[in-house]
Amino acid sequence: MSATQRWIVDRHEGDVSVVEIDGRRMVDLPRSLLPTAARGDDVLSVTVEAGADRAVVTITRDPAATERDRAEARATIDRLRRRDPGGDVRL
Amino acid sequence: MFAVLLVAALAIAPQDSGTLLVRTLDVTDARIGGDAILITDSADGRARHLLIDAGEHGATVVRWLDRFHVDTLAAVILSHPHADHYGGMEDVFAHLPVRTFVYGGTPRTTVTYRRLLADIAARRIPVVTVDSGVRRLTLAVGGDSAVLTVFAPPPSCRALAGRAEGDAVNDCSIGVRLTHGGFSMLFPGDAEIPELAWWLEAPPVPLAADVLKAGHHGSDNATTPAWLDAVHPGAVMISANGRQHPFAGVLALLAARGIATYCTADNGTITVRAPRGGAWTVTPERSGRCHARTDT
Repeated sequence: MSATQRWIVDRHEGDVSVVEIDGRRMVDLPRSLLPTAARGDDVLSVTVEAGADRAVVTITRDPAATERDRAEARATIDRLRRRDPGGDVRL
Repeated sequence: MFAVLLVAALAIAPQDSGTLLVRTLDVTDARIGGDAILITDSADGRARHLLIDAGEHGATVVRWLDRFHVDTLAAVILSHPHADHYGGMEDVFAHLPVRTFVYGGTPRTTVTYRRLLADIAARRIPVVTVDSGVRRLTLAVGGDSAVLTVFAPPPSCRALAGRAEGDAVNDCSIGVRLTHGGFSMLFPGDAEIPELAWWLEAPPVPLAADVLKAGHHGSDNATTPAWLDAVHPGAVMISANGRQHPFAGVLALLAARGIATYCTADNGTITVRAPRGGAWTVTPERSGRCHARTDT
């Protein structure tokens, strides 16, 4: 049985990597399971081929997807910047 | 007769008039922790609230907000976009009105963060982006007020390939200095040694404070002798997940200086009470000393 997932690295905490799975939840993984170059923000393409006795998980960094998502975040931040009242603020 | 009326008037006057409460909420669970700090200023029988960070699980923070009868947040401040600080925010925004959102404008790729920003945009909430200099926020209620001076991370956090991306998000935390009368408290987010050094080199605000919220949950990369020399706190709050944090070295450093230290993992929610013109006090939900979860 084969399945694909999209992971994004939120952060590393020591030897633990916190990873967002399919945009829904954060899980902790041993950092040693990820590609050694994986950094926070990296989008990872994951394929899982699971058999009864063996599962093969392939985790691949996807720099193009990372840059696309980063650009989308920047665009939203630029939109929000226009909502700034400026100066000191009385709440 | 006058004396009787005066006594009666005092008896019905709000007990917390002109009082600031800073609650470091216990958002600890088996896996995660994060920060969630509720600030409440009250006077003349009214109270206004503000939240710094929202932990990772919204349900946990919402339960605390309900318990403290919070029906509106004058502002939500995000120190930096890691999930253990922003993860609970979407639920908070859905649960009650938020009047202002304050953050550092750091881009991240995680879907949950981008969804949060899109949600804030859709709600048409004013957004204060503190990516340079300082911004002063005044939380006013009745005849009282508290001031939050929010200070920016280094300029490199704004660069497209700068510190803000990848693994250096902690070092793009915004800092907050809270003052109320003679009381002050400092919140450095998860700033680590490089950002602390940048703030120490040219302090954007007075760093000395009565109480310090420890950076990065009591990790040894965020509480240093130089930082403690500058802040010189009388008490330190550590919002820790109880699994990795806090570090033994940090607890030893604080103990050696005789600084009263409280940890959410051991003490539950910790309340600092600062009445205007009076002495500040700390009340933990549970008594007990902090225990290290990492032996360095």
